[in-house]
Amino acid sequence: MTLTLTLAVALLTGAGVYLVLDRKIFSAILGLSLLAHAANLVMLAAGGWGAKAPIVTAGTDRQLLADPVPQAFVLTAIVISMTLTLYLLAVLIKNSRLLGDDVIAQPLVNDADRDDDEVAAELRGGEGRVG
Amino acid sequence: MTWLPVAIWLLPGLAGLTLWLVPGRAPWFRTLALTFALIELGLATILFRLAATGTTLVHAFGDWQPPFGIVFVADRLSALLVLLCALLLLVTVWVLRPRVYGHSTVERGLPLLFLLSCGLVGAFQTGDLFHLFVAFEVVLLASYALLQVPGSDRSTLGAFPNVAINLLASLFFFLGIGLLYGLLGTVNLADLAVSISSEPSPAKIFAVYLLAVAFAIKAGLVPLLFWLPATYPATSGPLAAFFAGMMTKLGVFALLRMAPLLTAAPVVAETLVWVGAVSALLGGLAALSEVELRRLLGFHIVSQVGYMVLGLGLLSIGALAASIFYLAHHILVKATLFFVADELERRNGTRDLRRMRAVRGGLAVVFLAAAFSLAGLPPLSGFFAKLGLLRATFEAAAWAPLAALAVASVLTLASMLKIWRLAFSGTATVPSEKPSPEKPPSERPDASMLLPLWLLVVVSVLLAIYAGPFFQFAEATARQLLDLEGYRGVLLSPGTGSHEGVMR
Repeated sequence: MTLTLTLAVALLTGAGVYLVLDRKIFSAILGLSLLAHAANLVMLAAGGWGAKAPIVTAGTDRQLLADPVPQAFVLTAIVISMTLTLYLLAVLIKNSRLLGDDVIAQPLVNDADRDDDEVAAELRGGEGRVG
Repeated sequence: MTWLPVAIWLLPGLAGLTLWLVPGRAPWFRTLALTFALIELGLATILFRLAATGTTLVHAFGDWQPPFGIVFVADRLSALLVLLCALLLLVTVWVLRPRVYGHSTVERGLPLLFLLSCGLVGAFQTGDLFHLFVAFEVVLLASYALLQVPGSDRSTLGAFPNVAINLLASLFFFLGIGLLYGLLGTVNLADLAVSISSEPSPAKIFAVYLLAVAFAIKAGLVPLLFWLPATYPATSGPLAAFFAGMMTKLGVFALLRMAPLLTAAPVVAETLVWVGAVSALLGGLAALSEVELRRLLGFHIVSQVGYMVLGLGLLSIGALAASIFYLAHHILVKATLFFVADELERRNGTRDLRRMRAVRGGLAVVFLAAAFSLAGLPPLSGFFAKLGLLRATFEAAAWAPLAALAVASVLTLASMLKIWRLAFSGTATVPSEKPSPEKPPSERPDASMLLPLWLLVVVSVLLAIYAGPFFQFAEATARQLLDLEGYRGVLLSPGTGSHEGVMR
């Protein structure tokens, strides 16, 4: 069981890293979710791979039970990573509207190539563009 | 009083939700936000006064006795950071006026700012590693949204790299928790600290390394720092100031909380000393080469976080106390500088220092007070912070880091002088290609704009005047951090869950 789990984590991490290094934001998002799944599996493994659901009744052999705490942790982490994936997809849409292409752009680290008036308007607060 | 940590945590969360529900353009919207911030500051002050006497409030949720279940532990370090967070929240809400920044910025920014504070306060008071992870995520989600408040091209393009690096940091954090739980069977900080020191093993050291890497990314340390100066200039000025004050300090706080784990894995602490020294130097050097005001200050955060992390890596009481002093000083001063930077950028309509025209008056005085304090000139608070840190480094006989700190200090002064020369005295050295508008609309700001900044300056000067007593407080905090038996005694004492304990 441990070997299967190790291989699964290795596979997910390998695929995740490969995808994160891609130029397309969409691939990178997929890669990040795979990495999150790999981390979740590691957390599950930390709780022991017990054979039975952790319901204690009279005469249960506690050695066979899975530890419920890491499962609760993983549940939390799944919710968080789902939220982040959704947020990243929104970022993807905004980015591709701006650039007309799904690529990770060099962030604008300075205003060298930008219109002076546009920068000034942005800094004076103004009503930011939505969507 | 064990409800107090919970109330301080819930209030900003409820305030954030309330501000989302009420109409954002109502005239009383900002008044409501200010009221929430004032109550929060009041509660934080009560907590701080309690903690300063050594009382440690423990709230066990659902009365699950620690180490089972989630606990809030409000000790000196928590109370100090909660107080500074509440103060900065108040100042930010105060500065963020619809008349200056536009209705949409205020309407979108304020609820998120309160939710961010909720996450921060939760993180500062946690007694449990997994809850720290959850609080980090609350903070991060709010911060991602806050960075998009201006809706500019710059903030849009900066979003993905920022989220991606923070997501990776969170994964490291999560893996670290998983390994520690697998090895030791607990995520309660007091329990962890005791059981990790029993018998060190490579696996435990690796787990502590994972956590340290995660926190180092959040703190913006070398080599994973480039998200920081790219991100902060992209958002609205006052929000960036709040970020500059609190966000990286969350990483430093988490490292401080980990101090007992670090004592059990000294090799990680040693790495942190070197990483801190290199960050202090590189941040200072990179700042010198920048021409954009907030990017320059962003690299300075890297440099100063390097100072703090170097101090905490030394793990002596003196060094930890100096780090804590530095933390408090830096939150106040850095936020002030970012507020000033925002004011300058808005008045001049450019982020480029070389194009700024001379500014005099109150803003110049506020800048000088904050800049000299940051550079560590006596008699300002930065001087005492640096003095304490240099003395602790000297006592630890860490000569190379000591030299790095001294050089970085000169670099800080140099780049502060650069800002002064370019933005406050003289004229624009590189004229804009287009004729600049003869009088920008916000040329003559009313003096009340500067009031919140004066508040920050006054608190920072008070920190300098009461440097002695505050240093004693910082020392007591450092002792409390390393006093495992005391922490364990307070946290895991038999009996009911929530209680007040006393630590020296």
